[in-house]
Amino acid sequence: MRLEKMKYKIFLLSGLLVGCATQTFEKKIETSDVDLLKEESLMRYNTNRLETMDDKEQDFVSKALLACHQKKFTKGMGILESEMHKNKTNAFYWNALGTCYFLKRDFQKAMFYYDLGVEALPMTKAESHPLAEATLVNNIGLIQLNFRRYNEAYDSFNRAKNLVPNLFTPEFNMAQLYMEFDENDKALTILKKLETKNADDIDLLYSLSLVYYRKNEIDKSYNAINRIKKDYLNRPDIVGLYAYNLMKKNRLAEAKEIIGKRLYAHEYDKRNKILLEEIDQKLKEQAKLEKTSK
Amino acid sequence: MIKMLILTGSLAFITHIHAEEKNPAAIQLENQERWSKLMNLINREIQTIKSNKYSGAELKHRLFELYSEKIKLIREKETQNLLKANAQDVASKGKDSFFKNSREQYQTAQKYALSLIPQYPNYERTSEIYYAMAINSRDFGSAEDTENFLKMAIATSKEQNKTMYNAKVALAEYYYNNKKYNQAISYYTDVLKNNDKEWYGKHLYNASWCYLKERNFKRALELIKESFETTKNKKYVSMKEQINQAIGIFFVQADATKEGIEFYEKNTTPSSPWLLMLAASSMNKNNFALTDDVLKAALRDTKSRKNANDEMKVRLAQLDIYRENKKDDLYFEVTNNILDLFKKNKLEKDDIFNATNKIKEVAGFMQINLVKDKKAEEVKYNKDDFKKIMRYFDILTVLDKPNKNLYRYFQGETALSTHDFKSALKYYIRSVMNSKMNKDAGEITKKSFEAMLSTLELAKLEKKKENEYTIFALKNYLIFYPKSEKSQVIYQKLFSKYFELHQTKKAVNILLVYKKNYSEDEKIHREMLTQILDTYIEEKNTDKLAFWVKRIEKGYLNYSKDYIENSIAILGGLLFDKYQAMEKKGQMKEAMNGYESIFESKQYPNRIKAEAAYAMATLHQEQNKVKDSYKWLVKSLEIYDNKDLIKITPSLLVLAKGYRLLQNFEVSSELASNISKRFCDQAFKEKEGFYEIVLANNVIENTEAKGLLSQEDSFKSCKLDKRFLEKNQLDNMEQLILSDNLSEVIAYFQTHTANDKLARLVGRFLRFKFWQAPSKEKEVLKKIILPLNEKAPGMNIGNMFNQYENVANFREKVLAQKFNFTILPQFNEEKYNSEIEQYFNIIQDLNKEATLLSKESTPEEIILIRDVLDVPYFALVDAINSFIPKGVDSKYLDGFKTGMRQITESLTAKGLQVDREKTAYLEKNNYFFEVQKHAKFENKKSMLSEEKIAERNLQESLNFHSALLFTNTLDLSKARK
Repeated sequence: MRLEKMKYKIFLLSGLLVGCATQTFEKKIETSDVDLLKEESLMRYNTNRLETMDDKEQDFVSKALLACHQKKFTKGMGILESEMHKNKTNAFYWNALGTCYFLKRDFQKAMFYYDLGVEALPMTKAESHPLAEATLVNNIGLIQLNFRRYNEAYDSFNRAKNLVPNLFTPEFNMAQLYMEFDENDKALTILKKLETKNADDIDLLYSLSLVYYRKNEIDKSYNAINRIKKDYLNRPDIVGLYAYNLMKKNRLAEAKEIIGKRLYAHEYDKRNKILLEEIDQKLKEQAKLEKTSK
Repeated sequence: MIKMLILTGSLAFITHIHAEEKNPAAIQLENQERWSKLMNLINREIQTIKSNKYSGAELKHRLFELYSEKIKLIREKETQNLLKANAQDVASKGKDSFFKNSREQYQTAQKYALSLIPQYPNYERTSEIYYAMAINSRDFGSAEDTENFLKMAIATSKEQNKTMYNAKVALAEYYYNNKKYNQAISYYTDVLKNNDKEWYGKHLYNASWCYLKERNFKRALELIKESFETTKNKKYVSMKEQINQAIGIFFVQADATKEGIEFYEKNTTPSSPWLLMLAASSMNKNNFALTDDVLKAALRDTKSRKNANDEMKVRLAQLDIYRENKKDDLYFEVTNNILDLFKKNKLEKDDIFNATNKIKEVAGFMQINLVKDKKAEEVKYNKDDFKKIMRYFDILTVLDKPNKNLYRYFQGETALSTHDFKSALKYYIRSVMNSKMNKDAGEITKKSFEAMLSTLELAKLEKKKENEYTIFALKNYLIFYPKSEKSQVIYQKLFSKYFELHQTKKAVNILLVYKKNYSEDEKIHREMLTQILDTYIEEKNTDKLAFWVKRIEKGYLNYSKDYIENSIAILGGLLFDKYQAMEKKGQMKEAMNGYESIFESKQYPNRIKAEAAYAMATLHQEQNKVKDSYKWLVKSLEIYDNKDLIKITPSLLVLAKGYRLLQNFEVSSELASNISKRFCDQAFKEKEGFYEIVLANNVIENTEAKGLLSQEDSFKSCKLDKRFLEKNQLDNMEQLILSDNLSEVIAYFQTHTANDKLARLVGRFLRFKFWQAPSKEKEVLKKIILPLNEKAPGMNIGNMFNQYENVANFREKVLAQKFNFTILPQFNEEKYNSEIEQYFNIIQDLNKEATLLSKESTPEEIILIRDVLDVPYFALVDAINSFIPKGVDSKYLDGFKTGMRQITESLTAKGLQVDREKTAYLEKNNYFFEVQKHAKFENKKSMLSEEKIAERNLQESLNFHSALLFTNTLDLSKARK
């Protein structure tokens, strides 16, 4: 009976998952100490960090990117437009423009401009070439990922990693892709490596916890998620896994409390309800057992 | 009494006529009336006398007188008729025919008189009848009759009566008039005896002439001087005028010229006219000295009276006389005197005219004779003569201003004859200048020009001077003769001269005038203008060049299209060079202002303006200003001619691509579409490029098949290459595939199923989608794909479903495989071993089946096969581990477990090896993620225990992960910073 119910829920959820791909929750990081990618990606910068950086930044490419990451697309694209002719052969320029369109979710144009960046690579200085290519290829990988071309996305992240091995982002992305396909061991290898670079990164710890959870290594999963800075534990995605871990640790009351109190993003609402039901069921079973044992 | 009445009436009538001044018609009428009245009176009197039967000699004498009167009246009438008659009548009839009546009347009168004389032999007035007959015959008859009748009148006269005197006078005059001077003298001798008569002076005068003619000069001078004395007496009719005129001859003939001078100086005021006559007479005797004295006397007179006109007359006489006597110096002196006189006084035109002619004649004669041997290399001539000639012409230019150019020309000719070319040129120029002032385009002007031009070559002037004179001659020639037989050549010469001297503006003006007058010389005009344009090009004079290019573009001088095109291109080049240089210096604002000014200017051809607007468009684009760039581009395209525009399509293509780089796909498409459609029916290199942009932009912007197909439709008539179109369809499809939009991919493909390559591409995509899709969606996909594959077999995915079914069945079979050991109350080892062996065989069989199936499968199918191949191993391990034999002791049990551990370890190792092989295969074939996760995990749960399945379901439902949400862009980097 419970299995049938579960299957029904899975069906509902599979529809929702597609929806997840088109929505974002606030997974921004407020401080650089818990940001593994602080020197590579603006993706997880919160508004405050972006604005602070904008004040310091002089380079127009960075300024444009900062604007686009703040969703000030007109401003960001305008900055780039006004510098186009001088930067026709600047791969970083085209990367920035592609990223603005990527962030605007206009993936076709993003790809068009990333491709221009790739075309500009032969004209890029040798010392910048690997980085420029790695940057473009990583970001192209994101578009491929959006278009569900997972294999190509993997190849892109992998190539970016190989081009500039000391970059964290491509590997981080690869780990996410492995996780998407339940290749947890491969994901874990990467995550562990990255953990040595910044053991406090919010998403890294969440990913580790998730991988361990999938591998049924609950203690490790709990250990990882428990290391996440308290401020981020109520993040809609984290809170579910955290509650699950508490549940598995049989800390059912805590699990119920933490998941019941939070206001969650719509896309996680149903998932958390399932979890809440499961916790409630376990609480009932626990109560029943306690009653029986008495 | 009757006679008195008639005369009185006639006189009163005549007096009346003269009393009034009337118009000719009225006078004529009155004359007719008078004539009629007189004729009536005469006729009535004749009738009266004729009707008197008793008339005697007196009345008949009277009748003869009336007949004589009637002759006069008839003759008067006849004369009037003759005057009125037309010339043809007079010629055909002869004059005499008009005087027929008067002749008849004359005959009647004379006949009547001759009949009358015998009737009255004693009639005392017979001499009067003869005298009257003599007068009639003198007036209407023959000279012979006159002489006879006068002699008869003398013969029949009584001595010293009036009729005799009159008859002798008449006879003397008759002989005088008939040059019978000797006979005249005899009668005048008688007549002069009577000095009482008022005509005494006249008779003396006539008689003096008779003596002169008879070469009795002394007597002649005496008589004429005597006649002159009568002029002092009022009793005599004065012959002063005639005497003054004639007496000079008498003095000269009588060798008394000096007396003549005194005579005139004493008796005439002014004397100069008479002295001139005297001089003329004197010259007849070839006595220059005396003549000169006479002239000097005449001159004295005129000077004393300060009468310039009279002096002029004397000077003219001097000219004649000095020339006749070859007194050149005197002649020269007089001409100068005349000039002074002319300058100081207003002289009579005739005199000036005469003086002019005389001087001109002399100067001309001298000029002709100045250089004797005109062929000699060294010119020899009299320098004084030369000076005189020049002076004469100078004088003439003053006296005869209207012909000043002629005299200057003559001066030029004179100088030329002495080989003084420079002077000649100067005079020719002066001649022309004079012609210009008087607007005289006559023959002399033309001659002056021609002389100038030919002299220029001989003069060997300093180059600057030569140019100055040449231009003067050619230019003025054309001003005078814009169209003459030599003008065409002159236009060309002047043009060349201006051109040689870099006076382009003047050269252009000459060309314009030449064209106006000789429009038929178009080819030459073209050559000229081409030279001009070349100069402007060299000088980079864009304003002028633009002016002419615009004209020739509109057909001026029918230049060839190539030339026009080339000129426009050069003009454009020149105009743009300047601003392009600014661009290079980074002075963009200035450059743009320049281009804009070209565009706004009305003087440039459209093509240049279009190019300027185009330059603005490119500059704005270079400054990253799309809207401004396109605004100018639209302006440019509006005025660009297709034939020119098509030449810049490579650049337009770059522009269209540039707009995309500046993020404006809309403008990029608009431009590309505009050009594609504008040249839809023409072939040009970039045609496909524009089409490509339109389609690519469309798919990037919309990723919709509908829009793409609509664009393709709109270019259907543009004759694009089929292979290109098919390739373009592939490009478009790749974009649609990239966006992972299955419905748009299918919609686009439906229209292009004939494109085999496209079919293969779509086939691959659909295969991918099929594998990506969860199994339940695969059926839906199958329903879509199968009919499409039938329509386009090139997709080559029809077999995919059969094999997939086999694989799916295999997977189902594998996952459905259960490993359950029989649980007995007493463990049966043999049975257990048999079951294990059976399960090993099952796994082995599944592996064999997998191997066979894999041979017919695609990599995706192989992955699916390999994906489940490890499951039986782990399932058997689970089954073995969970089996506990019953009815055995602990020692056996321990041994059993140890033995089973070895088996499970071996099975696990085998399972892991299969798993590794699967992973290796995935990685090797780069299909690591292609096989969608749905396909990977479904059904596998079935082999797990219920608890594990529940747990797994929960985990899946709690899917905590989406790579999309966790992947990150690369924006910053340590390296870049």
